[in-house]
Amino acid sequence: MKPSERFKKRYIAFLLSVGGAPPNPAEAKQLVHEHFLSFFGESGVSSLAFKLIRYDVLDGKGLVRCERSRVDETIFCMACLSEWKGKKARMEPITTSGTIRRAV
Amino acid sequence: MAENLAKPDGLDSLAPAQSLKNFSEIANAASARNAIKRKGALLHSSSYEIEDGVLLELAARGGAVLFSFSDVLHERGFRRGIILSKMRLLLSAARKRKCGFAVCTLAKKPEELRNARELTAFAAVLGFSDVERKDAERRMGELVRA
Repeated sequence: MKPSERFKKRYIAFLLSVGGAPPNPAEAKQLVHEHFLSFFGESGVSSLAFKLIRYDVLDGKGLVRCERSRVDETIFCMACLSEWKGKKARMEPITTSGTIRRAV
Repeated sequence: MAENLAKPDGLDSLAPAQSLKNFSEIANAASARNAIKRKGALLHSSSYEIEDGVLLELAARGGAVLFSFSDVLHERGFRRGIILSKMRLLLSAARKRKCGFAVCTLAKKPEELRNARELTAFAAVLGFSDVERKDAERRMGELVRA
């Protein structure tokens, strides 16, 4: 496949906290995947080209990938997170970029 | 309360809805008719069902319909889908009647506040075009200061 035929990507850096502190990597991965799956559904996640690229437990910063035309939906999905397993949770988008290097 | 809250990124200021003279939370058609008598009224209905006549009157008086992020945040799953759908229908009705519209958080707790980028994304998901979004930002600034 030519590079021009691949889906166009955007990377969104975010700040994650559960109960006021960054969750551990396993919890963060489960939270992000469950929340996106609940919001978009299986078909939506596939067309979104969603992927959790990285997550740093020290500061709670992470990076997700999505399809270029659906950045707003992805940010809205992040903003809709308010609670997880009975604790207050927040996934705040920080920056959006076309490359991983510039997003982090 | 707004003085004690940390201002989210990208917002010029926080304005509690209760402190705005032109803000009205409407429950039914009668209260909506009373609310739109004020020039530049900001109307919010948690059911997102506003009659066409009210929208026409609101447009004539330079007011705006508010879409609240808190209403989305308080719902889960299927109910969240329904409230988004109702918001989109009201947006389309407001656009047809040339009535103003804007997004806000109407947050009752600090954790319900959202930054400017998130509100922009909310507007885009509802179906605001770029021109409408900028117009909504300008209108919101004017009406809040009024």
